[in-house]
Amino acid sequence: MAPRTFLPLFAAFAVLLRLGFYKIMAVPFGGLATAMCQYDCFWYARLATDGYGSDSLFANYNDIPNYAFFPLYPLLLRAATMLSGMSPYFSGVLLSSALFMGFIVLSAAYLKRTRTLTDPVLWVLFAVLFPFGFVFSATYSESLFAVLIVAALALLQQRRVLAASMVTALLFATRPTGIIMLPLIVIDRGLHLWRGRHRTDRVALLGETLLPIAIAPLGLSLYMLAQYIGLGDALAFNHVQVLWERTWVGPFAMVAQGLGSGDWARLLSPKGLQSEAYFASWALLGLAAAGVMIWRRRYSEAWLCAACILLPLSTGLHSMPRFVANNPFFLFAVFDLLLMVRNRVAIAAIFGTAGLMHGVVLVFWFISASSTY
Amino acid sequence: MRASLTLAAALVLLVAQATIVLVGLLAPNVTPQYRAFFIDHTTTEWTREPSHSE
Repeated sequence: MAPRTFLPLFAAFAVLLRLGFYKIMAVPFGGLATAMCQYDCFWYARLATDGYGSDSLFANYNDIPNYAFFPLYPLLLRAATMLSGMSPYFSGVLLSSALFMGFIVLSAAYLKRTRTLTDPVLWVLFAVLFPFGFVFSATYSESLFAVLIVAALALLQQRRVLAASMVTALLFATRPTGIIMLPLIVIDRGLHLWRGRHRTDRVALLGETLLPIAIAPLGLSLYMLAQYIGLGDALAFNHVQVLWERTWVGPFAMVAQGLGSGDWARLLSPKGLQSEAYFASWALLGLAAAGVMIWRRRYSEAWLCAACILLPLSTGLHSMPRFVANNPFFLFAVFDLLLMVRNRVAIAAIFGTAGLMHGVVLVFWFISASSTY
Repeated sequence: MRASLTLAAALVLLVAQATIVLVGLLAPNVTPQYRAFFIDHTTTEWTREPSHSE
């Protein structure tokens, strides 16, 4: 079988096998769709069914909190629900898993080009087994964000700048952290302008420079316009974060506050992994991964890895394990370290441990009524 | 011609988006309660307002 056909098929097989494992694990928790759906999943499902402007179930705030959730994933979920004829909860698992497969295959090509990856099967196994990676199959926007941000970076590095900016526009419509791709496009276009400073066709040069920069934020701009029309507040997505107790503190103050809390005993809480110190440690781990990227002179990846963590970290510690462990560039950094291990037995032991941890954290996710993340 | 169109499209997009951002920052069209609670944080009290569909 040609390698180009083999890898997508193998990735699909691995993700489906993982879903089968989840289905068995979910039996005591009400089945796959029920057990996988926690927290944000309900928001996405309601948005996919009723859209913005419908009352939410968040106290007495009407539909205002809906605007915290960016529109691209709910739109895709709506399409998937209509096509499949199944509930948004189950459709979400299928949609996210399909996007996760796309992420794995796209990343394998990216890693092969940037790291001379000789064994893409190793990457597939790593991505599928990584603890906390089950969120990529949950009704969350993680898998969509991952596939889009890797696509945007790969296109930018291949000098397909207009395509990269269009993918970035989709990224902007997926999560607020989509903004982190914009500086890379601006720097790329700035360098293009500088290199072309002796060109005589100034109009063409300016158009080539400005058009990608103008296209990239379109996803957010259109969403802001929709919020202004619907709610009268173009920045509602940011303002409503107060309902999740997210207000600006600053990333380093937040880490200090988390570590200073010393609440490690809360890891043993019956509600799951609720410790602020634990969340802060995840943030530090993510930033250390960005440091590894800098050490390896992968500056774009380092920026994307760090910025994905620093932005949410500046307003709170909650969900930090999810933000770090499902960050594609964190995964790349850990995978880089794994590739340094030459002993096959050691690699097998690492994968076995990762798979075991994956199962344990998955059970925490299934039993959590209000915690784990 | 094509270069001019590209530049014109870029400028139109940039101006349109700058307008959205400026209007969003400077002229939110919200109720006093919304402003006090979500934007200025001068109150932590919230009473349910009639929804858009009511």
